[in-house]
Amino acid sequence: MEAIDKAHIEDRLADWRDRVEDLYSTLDSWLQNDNMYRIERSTPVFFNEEIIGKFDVDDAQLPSANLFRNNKLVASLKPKGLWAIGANGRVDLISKSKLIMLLDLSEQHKDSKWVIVYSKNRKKRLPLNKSNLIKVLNSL
Amino acid sequence: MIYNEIDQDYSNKEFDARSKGYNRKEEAYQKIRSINDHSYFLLAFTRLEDRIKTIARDLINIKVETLSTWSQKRVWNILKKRENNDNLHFLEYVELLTEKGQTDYNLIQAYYRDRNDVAHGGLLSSINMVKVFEDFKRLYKDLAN
Repeated sequence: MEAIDKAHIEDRLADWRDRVEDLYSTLDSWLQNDNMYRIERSTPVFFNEEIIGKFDVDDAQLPSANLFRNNKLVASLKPKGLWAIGANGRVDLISKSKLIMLLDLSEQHKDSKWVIVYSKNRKKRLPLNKSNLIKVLNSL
Repeated sequence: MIYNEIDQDYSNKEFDARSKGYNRKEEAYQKIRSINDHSYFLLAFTRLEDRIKTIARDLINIKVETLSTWSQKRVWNILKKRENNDNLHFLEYVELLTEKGQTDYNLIQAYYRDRNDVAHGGLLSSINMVKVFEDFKRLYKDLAN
């Protein structure tokens, strides 16, 4: 088992931050020529106050993003877990009436494998691709 | 499931606060969701722990009752005594059902560590309840085999 110290946490946080940034860039590229939807980076969220306090981590912020339909905010993407067992992180897509999760099922330091999981039907899992993203956005 | 209803309800409120620029409210709802995760994780772990102890206890009893030769029975007799005296560690119960160092053992051990951290208020990781429910459901079945 890896030792959990400041360096380890900063390393994993940096990796997580990169993967979240990559995710947003991918979504952005899918929506580039879309007439209806767009994604925009928003206020960073703090990762975990206990970690910040205990290990004196310098930069514990993670990027969040907002999704707009015809210039109206319809959902936000907020990174959640990092050390979640069995998943290499989770980004929640929160909206007025739905909660949809994006899980990265990759192993540590491997390429991301994002899947879409519905809060109300966790067995229903879809690979994250352009077509499924649009389906999700249309359902909001 | 109540967990999902609470999580969804507060995520909707979190979004509503965010869309109105109410940062403190947004953080508060986010925190409530995290507390909900921890509470349900503890509840789910308690049920898994109970399941593991019950199956392991049954195994000890069967061995004590059915093995006839002393050489086969002696270890089980000692385990039975320790079990009766409430002197078996949780991970020893786990070790009776699945091989130490293998996937399931390591998974339960990792969850046990998280459970202890949550119980003592110092969890370093986020709990991914999607994965917890999935893993626990599978372990609940598999450990009996």
